[in-house]
Amino acid sequence: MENLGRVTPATALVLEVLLAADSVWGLQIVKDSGKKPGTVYPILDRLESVGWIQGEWDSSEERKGPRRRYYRLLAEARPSAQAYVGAHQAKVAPSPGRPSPAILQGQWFGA
Amino acid sequence: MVRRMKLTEAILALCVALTPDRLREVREEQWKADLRDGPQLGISASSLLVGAACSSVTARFYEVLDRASKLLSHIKEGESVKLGLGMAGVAVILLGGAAIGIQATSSNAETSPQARTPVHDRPIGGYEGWWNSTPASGDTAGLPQEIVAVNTRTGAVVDAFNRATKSTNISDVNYIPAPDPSWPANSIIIIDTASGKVVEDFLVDERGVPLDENGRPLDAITG
Repeated sequence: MENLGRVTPATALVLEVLLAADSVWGLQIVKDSGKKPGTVYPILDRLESVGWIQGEWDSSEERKGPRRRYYRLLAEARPSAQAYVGAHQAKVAPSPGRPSPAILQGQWFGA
Repeated sequence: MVRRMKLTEAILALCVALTPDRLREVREEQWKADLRDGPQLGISASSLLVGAACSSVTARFYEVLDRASKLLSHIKEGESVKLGLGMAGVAVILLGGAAIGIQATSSNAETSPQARTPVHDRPIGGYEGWWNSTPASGDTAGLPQEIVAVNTRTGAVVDAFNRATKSTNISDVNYIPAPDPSWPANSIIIIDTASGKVVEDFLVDERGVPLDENGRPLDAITG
C-alpha cells in the first residue's frame, strides 16, 4: 500500500463513502459524494493504483451485458483512510487558521 | 438518436484507446455498464463520458510519470550504467562549455542531479540534496517542483521547497502528508507533493541529524 499523497476534499468525500460500506458501486460513489464522474473516476483509479481499494465485478446475474464495477476499501487502508477523512473534516471545520501537519502526529505509523 | 449513440460510442472508444493497456479491458466494460445504468441514478451520459475522458487521461499521465520516475530512480541507483554515463557525458560537455564561456556565479549550482546525503553543517530542517538543487544546465525536467521533508520519528514536516518560488517556508507549501505504514522508520523522507510519492529517504537520529553508513550522526564525524 503506497502513500496517497495530496489531500483533496473530493478524495476525502470518496473515502468517506467507501468507509461507510463494504463494497460500493462506482456510480453510487459518484452520487453519494456529490461529485462529478470526471472527479470521482480518476480518484478511484488513483486509490486502486496505490492499493487502497480493490475493484471487483458485479456478481449479479440479473443484469445482462457489461458488468458494473464495485469498489471495496481494503482492511489495511481503513485506518489511514479514517485518519485522512478525519484530517479533512478538521480542516473544513471552522478554525482560526490553516491546520498544521502536526495534526496527524497522534496517528503516526512511520515511527 | 442514432447519431447521438454513434457519437457516444466514438467518444467512449477514444477514451478506451487513451487508457493504458493494462486497464483498457476493465475500463471499457465498466464505462459501458455505467452509461447503461447511469440514468437510473440521474447521472447523464455526457457527464459519464467526461468522467471516462478524465480517467483515461489521468491514468495515462500517471503511467508516464511512473516511467519517468523509474528511469530517474535507475539512474540514481546506478542500475542503468550506460544511461548514467551518457548523461554524465552530456553534463561534462555542458559544464565544460559553461566554464570556458563564463565564470560561474551561482554558488549553489550542482553538476548533475545525483542523489547524495544531506550536508551536515546545515541546521535541522535544512536538508539538502538533489531534490532541492538545480543542475548547472538549469534543466529541472524530471526533478520535483515542490517537496516536503517529513521526519517519520515525529510525523512532523521539517522542511519544504518550491522550485518555482524558491521558497523553503513550510507554511508556503499547502500539503498535508497522509501517514503511511510503508514509510521507513526513524528517517527523513522527501515527498514530491505533485505525486505524493517518497522520492528519497535517509536515517536520522533522535535530533534529526542524518546518519552515515555506519550509523553515526554526521555531526559526530566532524566533531
